[in-house]
Amino acid sequence: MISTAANKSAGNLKRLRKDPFLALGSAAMILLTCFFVVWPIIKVVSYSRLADYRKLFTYSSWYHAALNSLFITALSTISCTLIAFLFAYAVTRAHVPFRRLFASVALLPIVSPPFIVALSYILLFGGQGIISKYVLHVHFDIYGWHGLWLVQTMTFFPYAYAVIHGVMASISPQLENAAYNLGATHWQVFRHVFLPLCRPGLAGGALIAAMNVLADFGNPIIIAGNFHVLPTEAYMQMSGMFDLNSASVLSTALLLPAIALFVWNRAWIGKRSYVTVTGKESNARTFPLPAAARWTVFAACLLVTALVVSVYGVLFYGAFTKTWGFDWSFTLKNVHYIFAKGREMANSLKFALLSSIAAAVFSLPLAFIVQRKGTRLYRLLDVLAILPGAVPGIFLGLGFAVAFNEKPFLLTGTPLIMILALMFWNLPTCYSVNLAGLAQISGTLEEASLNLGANRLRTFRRILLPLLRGPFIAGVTVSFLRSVTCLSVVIFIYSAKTSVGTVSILGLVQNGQWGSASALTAALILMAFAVLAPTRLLLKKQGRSIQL
Amino acid sequence: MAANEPMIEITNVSKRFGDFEAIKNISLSVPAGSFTTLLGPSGCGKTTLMKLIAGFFEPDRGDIFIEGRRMNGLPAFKRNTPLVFQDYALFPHMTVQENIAYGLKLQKLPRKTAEDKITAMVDMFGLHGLRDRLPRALSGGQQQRVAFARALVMGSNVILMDEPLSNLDAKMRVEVRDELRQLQQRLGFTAVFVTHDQDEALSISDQVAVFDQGRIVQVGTPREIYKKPASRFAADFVGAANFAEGVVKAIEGDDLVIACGNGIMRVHRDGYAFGPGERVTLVIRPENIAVHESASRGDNAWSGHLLRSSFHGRSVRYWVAADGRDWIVDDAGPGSIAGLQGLVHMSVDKRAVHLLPAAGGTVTIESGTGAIA
Ligand SMILES: Nc1ncnc2c1ncn2[C@@H]1O[C@H](COP(=O)(O)OP(=O)(O)O)[C@@H](O)[C@H]1O
Ligand SMILES: [Mg+2]
Repeated sequence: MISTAANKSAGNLKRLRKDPFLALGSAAMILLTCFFVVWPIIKVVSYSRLADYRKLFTYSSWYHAALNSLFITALSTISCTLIAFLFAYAVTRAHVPFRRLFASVALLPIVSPPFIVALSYILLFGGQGIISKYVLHVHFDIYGWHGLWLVQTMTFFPYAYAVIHGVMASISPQLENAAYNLGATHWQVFRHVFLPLCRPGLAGGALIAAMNVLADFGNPIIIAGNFHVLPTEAYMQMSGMFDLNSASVLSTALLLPAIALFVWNRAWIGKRSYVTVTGKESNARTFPLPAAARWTVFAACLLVTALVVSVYGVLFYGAFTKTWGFDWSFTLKNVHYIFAKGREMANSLKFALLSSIAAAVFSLPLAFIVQRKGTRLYRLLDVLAILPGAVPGIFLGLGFAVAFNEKPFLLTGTPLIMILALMFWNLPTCYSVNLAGLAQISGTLEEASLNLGANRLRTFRRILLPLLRGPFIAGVTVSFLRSVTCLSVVIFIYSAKTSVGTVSILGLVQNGQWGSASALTAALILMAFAVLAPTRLLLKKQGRSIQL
Repeated sequence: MAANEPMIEITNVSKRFGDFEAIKNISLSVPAGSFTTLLGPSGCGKTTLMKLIAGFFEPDRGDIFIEGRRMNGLPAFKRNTPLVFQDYALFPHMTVQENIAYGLKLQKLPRKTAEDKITAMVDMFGLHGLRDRLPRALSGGQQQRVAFARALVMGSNVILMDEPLSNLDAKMRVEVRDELRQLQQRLGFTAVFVTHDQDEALSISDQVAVFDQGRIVQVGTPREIYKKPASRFAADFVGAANFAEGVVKAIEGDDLVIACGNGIMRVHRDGYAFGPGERVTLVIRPENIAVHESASRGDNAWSGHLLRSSFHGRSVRYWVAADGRDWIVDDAGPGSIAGLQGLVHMSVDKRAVHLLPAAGGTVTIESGTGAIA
């Protein structure tokens, strides 16, 4: 055993010596990711002394923030998973009308800023809410855990849906048909065949939802009121009193369960890609459900769809309304506001574009080294590349704020720190897309190219690069969407000059300027769609689809 | 180069992957202009040997020479050993034309020359009208022709082919292999061909190398391989065979007299160096055994009980229990004796029995079912 291990590492070394390009490349990659990912994490975790961490158990507000985080995560995870299951079931199995509509509704929230549901929720049910004040004539306090619960459910069920739908779609209906054929009833088939087959999807979907809810900052800061969770509590400590010490303790408390969920997810679900080559879907049809069950599923999906649609509708309506709750007349003043915030919007666009391209470019050689040169050293690269995915955005932002705040690495307040933070935040996304793309390119293509006389560089340029175009574009697109709508990563590192759209919106919401907030949000959504629509088309031509 | 000089010379080559030795001390000489086939079951190392020749792997030990030049250490892209891949490995983002031109472009030929070469290939493989198609818009057979064209256009003296026919349907496989053989003879290149299909290997090759678990167990012409297999494995893998253990009793004239089961077999000496008292394994191909309803006189005749039969169109296969074992018999003249049953009689020509040294001296009774490729 020992001798083989020694042999192997000797082999690795020999390989590296023979291929200095590879050796230098890997070393540079490792150094850069350590510097921009590991270093900030270490800085935050080590910022506070052990005694400070003890306060987590003694300060009641911190203690409660931690408990609240876990509570709302558990609760929202359950509801997200249920709704996601329902949607996936309706789309893949139930043969209800409007299946395409349901499928796209489940996609909508993903291309939106994180707090849009919270904002719409205020517009719908708040003190001046269209439903609460004008339809129901009631006044209820929407700020608190139940509001947050609803909002988190609406915001994050699509993430669970993507996973569950993927698994459900891959289960051949023939299995269910076989069970029917053997005399099982609908309920028995569902219970004993379908549900067990869905279990990995349910588990994966639940974990994805849990990770997102736990790390979310945008919704709780707007809707949770006095119900503090770890990310908002950390933010309060920073923005209110510049208490970096407390902020780092709270963020670290958030990091631990986040990493636990992440590792759990990796162990269970493995490296799910965001882009899949659309395979042949099984064209076997399932046995139709009993009408009652079918229409129940349909009604439930319709209700959720109505909610999602009203979230967007009310937002766009708000964008053209003078004063929400008082003066409903049409106005363009909010649209003017978009131009007033032109610099922030331009920053959003610029940083998102640069960081996502940078992430995609950076992850390309990374994925190549890991996928094609599978030796031990490259496992380290793999872990480094996905590590940012385990770190909550708020933590990463804080990490950058702390780590690059002093010479010689003084980046505070610069556009560069915004771009770098977003870039490394997006690294796992681009990396997994490229990795999956490479895995789909048979190694014999490279061999064929070498065999025909092309050297390694030419083979990389002429064969691999063109074939990776699809994953590359998909990676850039997904990263762009995430960046344009990102609040948590940037909230600790923006400056007056580098502020972005999402930060402006947060300010407007906190001031009660909902009309302007709606207009800015709508503009961000349009910006996202302007990028998403053409790339989806482009990728569709290549037989690929984007999964977010 | 002299005609008898080998095009490819492999000497004592070994290759391991971690703890697993995929190629075990292989030596093989591929004559110039020959069609040499590596034949063996899947996983025995055929592809690995091809990759060693093409330079995708380096041997751990041993040398590979092509046209007298030592190849060790030479990167794949400098070897000029075009390979036709089993999955074709056509570049999916390039058209048929671009695929074929890919290697030529790197040779920096004048444009006109390159253009002519490509057109010649397009003509040869009937790819007119497909030039601007992407590989995914081609049928399996068309893709395969593009793969051949892409390799042949390089104009190399050596062409390597790794199971190029295995993705075609059975009928087409036979057609293409005949065309391939004709093409190779016409153009005169040296072909190294990999297959796990014994029919294919026998019908197409000048020389066959039989592989077993990383070793070459026999090299010879198709006739030699089939008629005089060097081992039980080779006999069993290349076609079906009956095996029977026996002891040489005497040498009478040109014949070895062998006690086998309850009877006596006479086998033509034919260069076998066995002497009296030695244990041997008799290898008899099923088609060399004749079955009759009535007892036949003469040597090498025995009877048994017909167990079952299966109809194969051009022949009928019988399973006959005799002498405590099952014999496989292929009768190529079915119809005349369609109603064969019960007691049957068998006989074999003395020149149609092949002898191997007995394995371990034990009398094992077994019948080969042949290679199912
Ligand atoms: N790159 C590799 N790494 C590890 N094992 C390999 C590799 N390539 C082939 N092998 C192993 O070597 C053996 C021979 O493989 P191969 O040459 O592909 O067989 P064949 O082409 O005869 O079917 C197999 O057991 C296979 O698993
Ligand atoms: Mg093979």
